[in-house]
Amino acid sequence: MRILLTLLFLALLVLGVWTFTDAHNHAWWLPPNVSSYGGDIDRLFYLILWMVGFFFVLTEGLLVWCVFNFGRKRTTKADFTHGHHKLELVWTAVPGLLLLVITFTQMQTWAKVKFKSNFPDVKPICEVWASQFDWRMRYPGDDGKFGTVDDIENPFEFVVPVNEPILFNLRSRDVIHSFFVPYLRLKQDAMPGMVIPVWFQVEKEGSYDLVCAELCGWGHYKMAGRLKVVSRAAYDAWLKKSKEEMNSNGSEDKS
Amino acid sequence: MRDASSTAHAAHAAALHPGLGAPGTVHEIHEHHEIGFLRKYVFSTDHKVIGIQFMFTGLVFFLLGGLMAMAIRWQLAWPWTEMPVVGRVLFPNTGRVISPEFYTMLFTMHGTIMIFFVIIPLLTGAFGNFLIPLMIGAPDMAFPKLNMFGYWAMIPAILCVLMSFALEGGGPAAGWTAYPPLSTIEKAAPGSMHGQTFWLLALTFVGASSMMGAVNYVTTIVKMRAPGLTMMRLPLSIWGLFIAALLQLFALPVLTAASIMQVLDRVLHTGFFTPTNLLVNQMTPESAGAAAGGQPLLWQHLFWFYSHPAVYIMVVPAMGFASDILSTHARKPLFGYKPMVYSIMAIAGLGFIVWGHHMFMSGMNPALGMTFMVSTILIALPSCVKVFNWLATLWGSRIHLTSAMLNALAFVAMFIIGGLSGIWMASTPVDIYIHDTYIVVAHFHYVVFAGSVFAIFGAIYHWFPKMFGRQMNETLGKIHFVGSFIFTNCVFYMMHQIGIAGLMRRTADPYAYDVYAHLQPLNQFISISAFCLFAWQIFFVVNLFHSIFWGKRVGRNPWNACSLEWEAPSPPGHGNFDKKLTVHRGPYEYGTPEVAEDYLPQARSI
Amino acid sequence: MHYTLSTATKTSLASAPEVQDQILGSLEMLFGTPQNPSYLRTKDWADAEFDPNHAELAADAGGTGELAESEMNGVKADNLVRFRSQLEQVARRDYAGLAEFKSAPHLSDRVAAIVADKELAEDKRQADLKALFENYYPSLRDSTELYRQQCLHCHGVEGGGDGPTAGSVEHPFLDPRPRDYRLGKFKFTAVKDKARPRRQDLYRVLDQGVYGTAMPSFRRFSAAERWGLVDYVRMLAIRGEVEHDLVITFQDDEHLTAEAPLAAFQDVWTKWQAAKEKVVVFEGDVPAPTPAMLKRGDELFHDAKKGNCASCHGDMGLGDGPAAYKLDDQGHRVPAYTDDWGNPILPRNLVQGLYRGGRRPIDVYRRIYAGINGGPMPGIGESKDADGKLVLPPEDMWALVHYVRSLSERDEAVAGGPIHGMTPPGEGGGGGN
Repeated sequence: MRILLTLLFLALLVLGVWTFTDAHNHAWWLPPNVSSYGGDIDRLFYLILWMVGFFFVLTEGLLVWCVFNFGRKRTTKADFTHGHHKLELVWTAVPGLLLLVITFTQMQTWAKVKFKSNFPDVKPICEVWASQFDWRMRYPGDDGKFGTVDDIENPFEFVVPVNEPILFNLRSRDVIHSFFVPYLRLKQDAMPGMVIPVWFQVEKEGSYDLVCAELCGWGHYKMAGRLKVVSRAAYDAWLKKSKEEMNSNGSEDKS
Repeated sequence: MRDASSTAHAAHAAALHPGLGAPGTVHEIHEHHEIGFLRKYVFSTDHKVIGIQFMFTGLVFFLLGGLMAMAIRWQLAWPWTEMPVVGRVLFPNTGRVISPEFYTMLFTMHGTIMIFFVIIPLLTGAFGNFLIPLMIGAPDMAFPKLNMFGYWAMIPAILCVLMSFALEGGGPAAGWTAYPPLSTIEKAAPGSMHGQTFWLLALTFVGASSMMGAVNYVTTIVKMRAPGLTMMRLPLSIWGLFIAALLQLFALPVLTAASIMQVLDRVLHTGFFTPTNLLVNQMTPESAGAAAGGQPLLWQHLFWFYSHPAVYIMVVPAMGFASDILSTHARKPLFGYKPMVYSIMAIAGLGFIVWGHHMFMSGMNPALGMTFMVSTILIALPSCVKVFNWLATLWGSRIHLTSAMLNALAFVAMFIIGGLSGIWMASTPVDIYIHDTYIVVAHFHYVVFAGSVFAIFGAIYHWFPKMFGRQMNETLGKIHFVGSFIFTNCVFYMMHQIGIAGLMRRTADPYAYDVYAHLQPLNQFISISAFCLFAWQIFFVVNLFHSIFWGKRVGRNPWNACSLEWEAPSPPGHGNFDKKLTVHRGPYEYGTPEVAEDYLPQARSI
Repeated sequence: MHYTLSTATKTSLASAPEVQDQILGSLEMLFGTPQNPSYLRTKDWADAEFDPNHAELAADAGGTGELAESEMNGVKADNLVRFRSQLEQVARRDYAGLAEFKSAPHLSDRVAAIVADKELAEDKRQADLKALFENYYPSLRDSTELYRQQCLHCHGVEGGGDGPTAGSVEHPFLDPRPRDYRLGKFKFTAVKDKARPRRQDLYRVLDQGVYGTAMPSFRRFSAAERWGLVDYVRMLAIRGEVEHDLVITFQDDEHLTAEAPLAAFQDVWTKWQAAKEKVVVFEGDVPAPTPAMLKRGDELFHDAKKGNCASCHGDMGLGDGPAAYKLDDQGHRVPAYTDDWGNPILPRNLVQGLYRGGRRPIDVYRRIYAGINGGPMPGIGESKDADGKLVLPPEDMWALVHYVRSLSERDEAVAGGPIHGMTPPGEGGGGGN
């Protein structure tokens, strides 16, 4: 019985270590990063992973050993002790120090992503409007202003040029939504009544899923979008084509 | 106690509690020997009966909440597939398939029920009531009638929460966090009609119930301890319950106020949380007569100001139970009693200044996010101290692998995981990625399910003899434990993986996204494990009911434990103790060289 | 599972249950069941090698016979993305697990058949599979699965707009209600004369969504899948219309002949095919707005003899004109109009700038020109005055279009602009450190 139960607790330890070594092979892991600051976030993720991994193995290992070794039937009494000051000081101070390290290493990256003082000095490329249950990207027309009749509205697809800092304004028409692109490591809630500027820079062309990460009602799962990253030339061409489509006279519908 | 004379009792009680009323008052309580069935078992003022009432209410709701979890898991594994058996009855209009708004209601109610009707009532309601007077050597709570009202305030809460299912539009569907404007605008969600209002009322009643309990626990612990039982000689269960009660006292008023504000927003169209200029379902809140001009973030602040401490309400007593069970069944004193007490206090204290970590992505000022990150990372420290102290308690001990002990060991093993994964969430930059993903789901299920629920199982196995005078079946208990442990980890550990892959919470059908499509097989594995976990609880149910009626009869102290509750008869009669108690030492004198046995009870003088 | 009759049919034929059965039986013969929907293939179609079921033709490079070449190219381009991994597998000649498409059972069957065919040469097998994926176009049976997953909970099994998410009749939830296809009326199309929608019109709705309603954009699905959904919706609409026509026929003739269902079906089918000729197009370039035009538009908007828009849409375009409301028995102000589905309806608030049928000038032009089918909005593009002259000649039409569109610029606060006094985070306070 003791051996069986030891193995049971050992299994948890093995499960923990196994998943972190093998999960990559099943893509049960971070999707590839394509943004300029995603690498920093991933590094912090791994830093914490190593730290908690160490403590996970240490504590679970101790637990398994205790069950195995002290679970034996013995006739003698247990060690009679109420504590040990120095030991306790060590396991308070060491994790405390590590936590401090974690805290201070995080701050720079957080500031880089979210502080307005660190935002790139560019004009917002578009307004991203979230509503139940779709994303709509509103690009300014020739006048460069939002909220005018020549705006270009694109549902679902957020087209941006590659390798350029992108700034956009996140807005919501009804309830709280959340702009989440897993490949960018970027998330920001869209709060009704607030205009929230967000920035990112993508370093690889491609199409990346944009999802809503905050419960926004029954159709939450339906609220799909796509971040389409293209070359500057392709972006300009797309913008030009969209502007032309705005002025269509409908003849393309005639077959 | 039936064989003891009532006068002796009164004298004893009066001697124990000089501070509480004239001896006559106490005497009067003990005169009611011939009370009817209704007064004895239903409208009882006896803390033990109330505790057991809370326990069974909690367990029934545990079943209900579990069933909802099963439906959620069905949808996540095989989205839009006919549900076997129940599909025909529940979803006739959709081809026996869960509809998306029903799914939304399911996870909303699953969270609500598990938190407010299962974990909190089981920990503070059931064990708080049952254990506090017994473990501090008191005949009952300080305010027995208030205690009774505390349970009966749960009844309107239960009615409200059950009614919200049946109302037009279905149950509330804004998540257990009820973020406005989704929750304040009727047109935003089908269940956001009357269902949401009743949900808020239910919350208010639960709050009232907890408040009455908390006042009672604090008063009882402060004023009614047996002679010699100083605060620093209290068992950690009592410390946990005491701190949890304080947390409730300070945090609950905020939630109650906030839910009343939201009720006002919904019913009287005030404008606390609903901003101007929304357009929901073709309607602006203003056109429906709402004042608007509110701020949704206000709700998040108020809600989390309560609900973050609530997380500690849900785990601090469990830590106490685990400490007691570990020490008792390992036959070794608890390592570092004082640091354990201080770390509970630190967790509670810091628990009040970390609520903002739920809001890192909310659009709150990012500088504020940094402050909350610091306080949140700090709170890992006392938890860390506790884990090491538990492990040190086990080191050099004589572990008896009873069902209670196994569950307590599992609590430690899995609380470690829940605690460690919290560090990712505390770190603001990493939280940008993992906020509202399944890592968060894995994290809080490891703390609340794998942690608190296993501690509750352990506590039931451990204190069952005191409740019913019989012991639970150890074989069934071990079978229950092994299966539960395996399946719990299969379910919740794997949620970390889908969370790291970026899957967001509360999604009815994620597989239409390229980035999540490959996660379906893993989700199916999780769901099958979850069904097994649910089915496995049959061993517990059988064991529970079998043992109540046919379990092995035991004496006062089947575990050879040291704390005061084991001095009372099993089960204790009205008034609890049949002898005068004086406390001489702390609660964990196991393996002491002072006596021949390996334990020295608190109340024995040598 | 079977399709059922609409509530309206059941009510009007309450006294004749055998006719209900007869209609239900004919409809099932014509359109199949929810698990296996397909049109009864008429002789004409067989002669013309036309198959709206798209059961077999899709594998031919020629496509479905209903898509234009550019549309088919779009389908193929999307297929290359959607079946990326399958095509890679085929290239490796690794056929394991290739035939598992939960939301496309028909495709799965066809893949499985090719994989299992032992007679086939390996090169041919590879080529066939490649062609199948590249030219994939869903059959109705494939689309019913996607419809069930994505559309059914609002639009209902039969497309009656009565799914559970729509709310009940007594307590509707979604506003506006999901479209009931069964009248064959679709609001946002490019056609005039209340014609049936073209398939392209339905496709555009799936592509763009209907902004301001619960109908989102479904661009997350490939072009083939969206065209498939369009075909399935068309099938449901035609089925509903046939059902409706049969009820009328029975009520007129007091009996139903055996030929009636097929006749009704062919009649409705012809109407759907006729829509192609009804597209509203402006010959010439869309003129850019000028201040003079906007001023002219303003006049037309308020002129009761010209646009007469203000009577419903209100002086300010807020959708609160005097004709939009009436007083009910209790003296409450209620919507004056109901749409063809019986739902009370209010004019659009034009200041919000949410255009359901699209926000391009030509979209607004088409709304004004042809009206909105099923709703009270009339089309005035071809209205003539007593002298036989157009009420709104083209230059006036565009003046009105540009004026209507400019209303959304008028008040940023109403249109959802920034709220005064509220600073975005990071702008003030500590965010700037």
